[in-house]
Amino acid sequence: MPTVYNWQLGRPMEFPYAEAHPRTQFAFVFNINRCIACQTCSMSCKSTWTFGRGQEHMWWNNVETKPFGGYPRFWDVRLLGMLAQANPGKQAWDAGKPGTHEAPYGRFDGKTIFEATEGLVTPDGAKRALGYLPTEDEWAAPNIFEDHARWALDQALPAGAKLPEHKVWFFYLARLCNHCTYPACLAACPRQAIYKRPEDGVVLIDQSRCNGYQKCVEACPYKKSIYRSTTGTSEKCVACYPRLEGKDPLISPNGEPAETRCMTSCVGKIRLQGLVSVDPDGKWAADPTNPIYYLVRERRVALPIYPQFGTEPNGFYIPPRWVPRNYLEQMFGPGVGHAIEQYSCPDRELLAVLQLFRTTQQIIFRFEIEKGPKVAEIEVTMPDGSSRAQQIFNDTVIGFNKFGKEVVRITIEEPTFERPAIHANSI
Amino acid sequence: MPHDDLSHDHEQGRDHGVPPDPAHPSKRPVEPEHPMSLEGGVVFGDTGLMLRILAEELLMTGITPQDLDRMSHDSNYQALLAGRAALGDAAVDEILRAAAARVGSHHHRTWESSDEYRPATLTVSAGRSGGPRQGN
Repeated sequence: MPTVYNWQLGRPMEFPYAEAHPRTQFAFVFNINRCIACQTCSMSCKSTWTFGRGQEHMWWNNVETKPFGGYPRFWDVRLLGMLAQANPGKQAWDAGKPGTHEAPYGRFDGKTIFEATEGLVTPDGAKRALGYLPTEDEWAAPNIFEDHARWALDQALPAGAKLPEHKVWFFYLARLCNHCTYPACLAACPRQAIYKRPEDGVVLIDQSRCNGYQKCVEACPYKKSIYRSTTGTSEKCVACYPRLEGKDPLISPNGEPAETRCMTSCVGKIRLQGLVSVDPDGKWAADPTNPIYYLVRERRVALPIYPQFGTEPNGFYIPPRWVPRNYLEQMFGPGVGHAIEQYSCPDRELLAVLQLFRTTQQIIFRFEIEKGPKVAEIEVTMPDGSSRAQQIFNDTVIGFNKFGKEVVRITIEEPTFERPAIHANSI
Repeated sequence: MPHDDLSHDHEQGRDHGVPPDPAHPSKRPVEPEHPMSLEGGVVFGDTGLMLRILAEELLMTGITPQDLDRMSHDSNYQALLAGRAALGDAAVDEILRAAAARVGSHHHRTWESSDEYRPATLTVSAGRSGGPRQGN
């Protein structure tokens, strides 16, 4: 197999195809400290792309309750188990050294889903990626029984049965296709029906070539390629590419790239989506005023999900501060400590950039910050439970679109306007 | 015996030659190959820390302490509600109160002046010329 460089693993790795990189890459950052699982993103995607016959079970975007939930059920637990079985006791990071630009989270010494298939031959031939095909039952519900803490405790157990005593904690994980740099779906397709667009790195399935073998469904570690029985083909998130191309006349009158439907509908303001420039060798071109680059590469406050799978996902998450550290490190790698330390008590620059989440439908390509006066000092909780003083400055952050036009200007203390009751419902 | 939904299910089952178990699914014994069996380890967390941080995060998004209290009684916000189930009302009330005291609510209010802004009387008609729409 050819060798490619995976910066999230901090090392070269095997991949069925030689390196070929897009000019820009679709990427997003979710702040899951603030997700309330309202499922508006899921519904906006559903009502746009997957409302047809045969798509009833398809949720290109879903929000699942961790640690119990998953769509399809137990998707991550099952694959982690398979990897642990393929490489017993060795799925570990060497995070001893401080992060570098080449290896920001250290080096992953275990096996990726591509490397774990060594010597694995099935009746169809050599396997290209370790994976499994979820059952119909596992696809049946996007978040069944997972968001009912009180119900589960009070109702679900037969009389006299007890679960192990532990303290309740959970968080909500919003997921969609990560439009990976090294997509397992693309690697596994025997028809070469899956391709990565050179202009924005979006991974698409060519419906005219797909024969419905479901190898992509089996191989995608995030289980974001889904089979549709009415067409006999597999389908997946298309990153709302007409919007990325600036073809929505209402949002993009002059062809400005716009965020996807699931991003723009987020009422909790936890999502920021963008496009980052990619060098010919696959590295993100240094661009510290691009908010996605700033959060992922400059400040390392947003981390890839399950980087050890080896697909170099382009979905990044600001990890929830209250979740047990060993669980977070399994999900986001050894960068968790640094990310939470940065986020828990952000400096004024990071705090300003965090205000850009969900402020405009157009993609922000560059930001600027204008400094303002100090307006408050608050006490925030650090991950170890201690408190730290945080100074709040009323800085202004300005976002610019692809063509350098200002599209958003927001202050830390965002003014909101409340109308007196006498004007309620007046036009 | 009256024909209720259950007996209707019986008829359906007989059509396929498999008499269904008349007991409600929740009352049936767990089968050996039950697909919902759960295997896993316990990851210990801290409910109090979760609530404390979650309250801070929501207050920073502009949610008021009053709304936060309402949300913590609402089954649509399970993380907050689970805290009440696990820690009790008094402990959760104190966590929310302390978070509001530490962080405040990041909410800057600007009120419209009702003196300068008077709503005009708006008449909605059927859009026909010749005065208000007449009856049938």
